[in-house]
Amino acid sequence: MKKKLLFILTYVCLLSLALLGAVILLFAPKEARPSDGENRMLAAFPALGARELRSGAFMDGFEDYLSDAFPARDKLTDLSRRVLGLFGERDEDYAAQEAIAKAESLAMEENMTAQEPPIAEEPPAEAAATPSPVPETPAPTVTPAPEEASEPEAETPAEAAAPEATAAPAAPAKKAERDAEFWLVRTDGSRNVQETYSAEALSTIAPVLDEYRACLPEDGKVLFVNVPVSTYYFNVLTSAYSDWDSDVDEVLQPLVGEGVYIYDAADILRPYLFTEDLYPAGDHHWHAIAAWHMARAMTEDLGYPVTEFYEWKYKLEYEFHGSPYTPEQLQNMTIERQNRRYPVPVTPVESYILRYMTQRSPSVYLESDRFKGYGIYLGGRWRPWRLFETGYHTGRTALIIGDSFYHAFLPYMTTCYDRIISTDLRNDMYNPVVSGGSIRQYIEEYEVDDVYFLMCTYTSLNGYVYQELMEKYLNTDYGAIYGRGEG
Amino acid sequence: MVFSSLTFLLLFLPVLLLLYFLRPGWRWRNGVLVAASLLFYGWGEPVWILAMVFSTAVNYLCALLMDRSRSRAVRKLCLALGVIISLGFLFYFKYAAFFGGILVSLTGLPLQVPSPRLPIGISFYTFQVLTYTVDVYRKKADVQRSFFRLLLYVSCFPQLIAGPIVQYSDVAGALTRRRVRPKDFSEGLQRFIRGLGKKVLLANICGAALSATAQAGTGADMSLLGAWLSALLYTLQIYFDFSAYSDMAIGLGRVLGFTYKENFNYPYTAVSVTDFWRRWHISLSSFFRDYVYIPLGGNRRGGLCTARNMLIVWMLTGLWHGASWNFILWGLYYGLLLLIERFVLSRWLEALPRALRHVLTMLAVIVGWVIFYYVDLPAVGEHLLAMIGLRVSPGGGLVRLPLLDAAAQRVLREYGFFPALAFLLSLPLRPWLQSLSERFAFTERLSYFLGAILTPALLGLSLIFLIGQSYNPFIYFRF
Repeated sequence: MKKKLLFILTYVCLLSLALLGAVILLFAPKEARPSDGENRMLAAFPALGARELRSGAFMDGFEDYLSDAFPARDKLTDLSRRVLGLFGERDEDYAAQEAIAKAESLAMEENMTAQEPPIAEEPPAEAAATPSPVPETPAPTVTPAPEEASEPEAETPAEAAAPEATAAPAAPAKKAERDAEFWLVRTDGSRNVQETYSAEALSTIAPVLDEYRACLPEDGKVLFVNVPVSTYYFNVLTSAYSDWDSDVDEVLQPLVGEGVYIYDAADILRPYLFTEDLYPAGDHHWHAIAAWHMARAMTEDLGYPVTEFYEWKYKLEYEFHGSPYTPEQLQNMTIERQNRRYPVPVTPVESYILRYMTQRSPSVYLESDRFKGYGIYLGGRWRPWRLFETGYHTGRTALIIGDSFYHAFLPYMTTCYDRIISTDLRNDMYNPVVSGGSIRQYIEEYEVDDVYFLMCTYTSLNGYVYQELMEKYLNTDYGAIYGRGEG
Repeated sequence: MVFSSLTFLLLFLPVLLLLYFLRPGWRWRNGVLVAASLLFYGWGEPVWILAMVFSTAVNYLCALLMDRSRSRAVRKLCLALGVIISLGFLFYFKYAAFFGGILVSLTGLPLQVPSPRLPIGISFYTFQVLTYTVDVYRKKADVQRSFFRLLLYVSCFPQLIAGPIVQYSDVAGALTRRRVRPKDFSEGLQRFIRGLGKKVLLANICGAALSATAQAGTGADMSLLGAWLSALLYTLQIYFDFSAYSDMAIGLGRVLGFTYKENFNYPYTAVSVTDFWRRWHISLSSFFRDYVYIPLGGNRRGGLCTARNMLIVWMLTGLWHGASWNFILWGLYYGLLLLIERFVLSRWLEALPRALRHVLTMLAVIVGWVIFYYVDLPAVGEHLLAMIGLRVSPGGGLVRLPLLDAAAQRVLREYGFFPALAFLLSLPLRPWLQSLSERFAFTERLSYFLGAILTPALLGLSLIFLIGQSYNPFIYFRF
């Protein structure tokens, strides 16, 4: 009996496999189409001919097609990530949990009530009452407005440092004399330190930034910013705090040479803390408006024309696909529904995934209103490199190295550059083998003028990305080790 | 095609089994199997089918001539012809570039060194077809008069690409008469699914964890524990990768009516290096024992000859894995270890507690895998040095490494569970459960229940994980 049952069971398994295969072959779409979740084109049914069969191209393409056409592929890949996440913390899970834990301990420390979860707190009455400047109806077009660049509202140390661009000489290695911090300012003026970056860590980062600068042409610049995550913003909005601040720029700027500018996101965003929805509740990322403020500050410093926030065309998204919280958790959060709308700039640029230095495959545009926005905008797995051809003819190229925060920032830089290449060095995003070369080689290949480092406080300055990968990936020629994907 | 591809799982396997069992009788089934095997082999690189068919044809003709001739000289000539052509073929594709390069660098001659692409599975099917020719020469096996059936033996897809190396005499009978009972079908498929789970859920994840560690020779700074962690991860990955393939091959063989010998027997429980090689890649060890070591004289001509034979066999074993110095070094490393174990340390080792012997063996095995992993020898040295907490500074001196690097920490945090699970599953839990079930009725029910639940669960999970993995070749494919 038992043997019979096992036989039936294995028979059913086999039948299920056959059924799946038949369903894919008969009913799955045969043409290439974009994947919202992965932000790439899914494989089409491969061309079938004698040449393709002889070379094996059909067989390779067929396996890709089966995988990409698998029913409920997005959900299943997400499920596999969740299963992996059950047994080990992925980077983002870890960061999110760490932030939640930190926020909770902060809440306890400040004797907050248990009914008010710190990450989802109601903004103060005046902030809630202030209407959001985000336009409900998207502006029709993107119009570059060079003459209308507004004055900077917060002077950045970068401005004080040296806006005049000159070639960066090899800077002598300087050591930071103290740690740097990011803190929240209590209403009584005292500090509640949230992040501490060791002097040793900052001393390691500085020469690497100079090394990046040395790869650029004479007038090239390196612009660096570490952006606070939403937890801090929502804590500032409680009655316990009045401000936030950081001295990373003060400690790091003296350590770097000319042409490297350290920005303080806390300073730049401060004027808007209580007047604008800088971050969405229920997620650690920033809103487009906050990213625009950052982009504006940098663009002005570089002397590029600034396109005002309202001049971009937007669409509104209601689902936040990049959230670390489950839909159930989001439902249970006591946040204003209004705060769950996400303006996404529509940026009609040509977009490619780059592999092995020069291999391009067309991808969905950075933002196109054909697709659901924020999943592509923030959550997409753009590995290992992306290339954006903007259509603006400024004669310059930028490289943006960031974590998920840079996705909201990048659209606002498209008016300043002919093309932008971007990458995310975190280990679950960056694949050095498929990259097929070092960052230095990418800088040379694409004739990069300016390099941006834009990561959030989850990607800690003390951590692996800054302390190891930034230099390792700059210099290691993975093409020499693994090949550049020929054949 | 690989067993863990969607093409194989969703289309090839179901269609093959449907056609295979459509009609009874071994002629129909042999026909289906040869056609399927050639499609399986040619999928991706159809041109190499010709190489395999040519190698089979040469050995088929040599064996026929051998069988018809009564002259010993002619028989020897036929054997030599079959062996030389088969090995020549293997040498050209696998070793010509390596040895040609050495020749050019030694002599400085302006030679054009050929570097052809390696036909997949050539090392495996060459050795298989040689077992046929040699067995016919030794009169251990009857000559196969049907080329078609010999082609079926050589090309039979379950063991074609990555073994186990099936000796002709072991399956000669099944080429003309074989029976598949429902029990063979279900147990064979269950074993295949277990193998698939091992490959996708353990080997691939250990591989992903390994690639996230700092690697010697990539410019990344390693740490003492990081170096050990990556060595351990590779130790687990290669075992689960290769034994998974063997499980799948043996399981599929059983579904199709063939009985293949086991290729692994819990090698990481070995208590000596000799014991390890009785448990690891058993079909390769058996091949070298039966077709190289014993013909060279084995251990019957005194200690010196035994030592020489062992070193030859182990150097060839290393070379079989690839045309690279690290494989030769790896083979010689094991040759020397086995010699030392046999002639110097045998009594001392036997006196040690079993647990200590096991630890020492695993130490030797892990060091062996480090040699095996890196194709460039300086990286091997760098990694081995890191395993004792040192590295060579740019000035040439030795400097201490940190205890734990950030990459290793991250790997432990993100993947720690899977290597731990893999380690547990490398222990003989199944025989232990079986022995329990013989003693207690409830454990028998439990084991049956587990089998019934785990089989579909493993298949489902493996499929889910496969969808997200675009590239998951078996390590032993490159050999």
